[in-house]
Amino acid sequence: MGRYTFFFFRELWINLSRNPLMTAAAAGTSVVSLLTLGISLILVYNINNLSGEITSQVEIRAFVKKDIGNYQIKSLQDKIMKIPQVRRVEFISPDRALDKLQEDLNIDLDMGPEENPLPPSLVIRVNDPRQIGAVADQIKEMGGVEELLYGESIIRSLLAVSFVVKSLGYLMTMLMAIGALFTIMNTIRLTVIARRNEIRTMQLVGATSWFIRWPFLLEGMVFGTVGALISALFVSSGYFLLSAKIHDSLPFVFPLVDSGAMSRIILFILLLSGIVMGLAGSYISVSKFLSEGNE
Amino acid sequence: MVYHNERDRVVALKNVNLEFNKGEICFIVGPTGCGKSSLLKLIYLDSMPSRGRVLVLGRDTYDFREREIPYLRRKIGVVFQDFRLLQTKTVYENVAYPLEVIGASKYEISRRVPQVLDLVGLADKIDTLPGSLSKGQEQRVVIARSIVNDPLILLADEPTGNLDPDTSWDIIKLLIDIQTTRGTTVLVASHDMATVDRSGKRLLRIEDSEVVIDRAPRVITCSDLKEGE
Repeated sequence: MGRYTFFFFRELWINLSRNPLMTAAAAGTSVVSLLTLGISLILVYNINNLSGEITSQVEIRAFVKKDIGNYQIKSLQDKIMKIPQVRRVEFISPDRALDKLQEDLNIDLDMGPEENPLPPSLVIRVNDPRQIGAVADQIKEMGGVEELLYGESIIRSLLAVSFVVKSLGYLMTMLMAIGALFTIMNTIRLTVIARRNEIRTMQLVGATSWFIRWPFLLEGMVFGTVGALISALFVSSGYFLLSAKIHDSLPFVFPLVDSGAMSRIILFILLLSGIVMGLAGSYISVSKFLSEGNE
Repeated sequence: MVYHNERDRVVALKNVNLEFNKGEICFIVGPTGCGKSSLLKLIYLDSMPSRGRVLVLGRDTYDFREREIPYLRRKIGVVFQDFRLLQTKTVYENVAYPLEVIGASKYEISRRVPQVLDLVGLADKIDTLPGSLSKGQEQRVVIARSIVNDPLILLADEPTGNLDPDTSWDIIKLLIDIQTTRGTTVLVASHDMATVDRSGKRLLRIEDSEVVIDRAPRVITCSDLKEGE
């Protein structure tokens, strides 16, 4: 760009302001294309979030033999913590287990003189739910454990469903991104086709390829940026309103991604996509006509 | 020189052996499709000869690398038959474009553009878009654009093609004026034999892709001038 920077930006302004219909059509197409991409991003992020939430709840409950003392339980807890895949080990005493049971069932259990029948237990969370079987096997071999509960088959099904849903989400986003790319590129191509004679004239009066190309690249960037900003505004506002509504009416059903974080992600991804798509669209279209002129 | 399209092989020029001297003006006449435009295209490197050699400013056109071509074109002004004005730019911006291409300063551009627009008689049309100009005015803008950066060669392809006889003669006089005052080598392709013959300048006639007449300049008579006026 260098010494021509001012000229290129003036050219950009002339081209945009003196072709208002073309400018509006190109920017409008970018908005619509990136809007669909933004919506699919929201779905994918929330699916991932939901899947992460569910799988992070996966835990092993190890019921400790009643006859072992607190010191041995502490030592067992330390040994389990040393297993690399283990994230957290929590000791649940019989009293705490009873309190929790009463709280969950919302009843008051009057045990009277009876001894609390609930055994002490350890609740183990792992880093990767797929490793839960292997971790359980290692705990079994440690001794001191009466029974292990972790629902291996349910976890497997849960992980499989989560994988399929996530993959579908990624596939959908990829298709949306490809669709947006082609739509934006073709729209920019149309704006360039409308000015192919200008490109030829510029070549014939001695303009180099890059001298001709730069204003078009800047135009592509503007279309992509405007499209990204407007669509990000729509998508983020829509998500903000929707997530507030869901949070108010169904607080425990969907753990939605925070709307502030989501807006930042949407803005970043849409801006990046818009600029790259705009640049690619302009570069490819202009280069085609430039090379036709050189033939 | 041979053009190929999907079905045919079209010979545009053959057996051509010509030399144009520095600062000379030459009119190339002949019927439509005889090869006049092809001859000019060879000079501004819009076409390459299929056989033989073309030397421009002393250099074989086949020796130019693709990225050198724009730099050669900056030394050649071209007045296109179809004008080729940039429709979204004003007269001023169109004429300034070749200067922007060479990186001329804003001061230089603001000095030279009004000068050449004054020369072609369009000083009052500076902010007009090409769509609002007459054919004759558009032709003058193209001429202004082609000479604004003082090219060594000026090529004009049918510069009087769509113009009435009076305007045509004005354009021819303007091209002669550019050659005499600036020392530019000027080649003008035209099918308007009557108008260019009045000029008394070197005249080439091309028929069926071959040069059939290469007439040296002659002395202009009073009747030529009167007719011209």
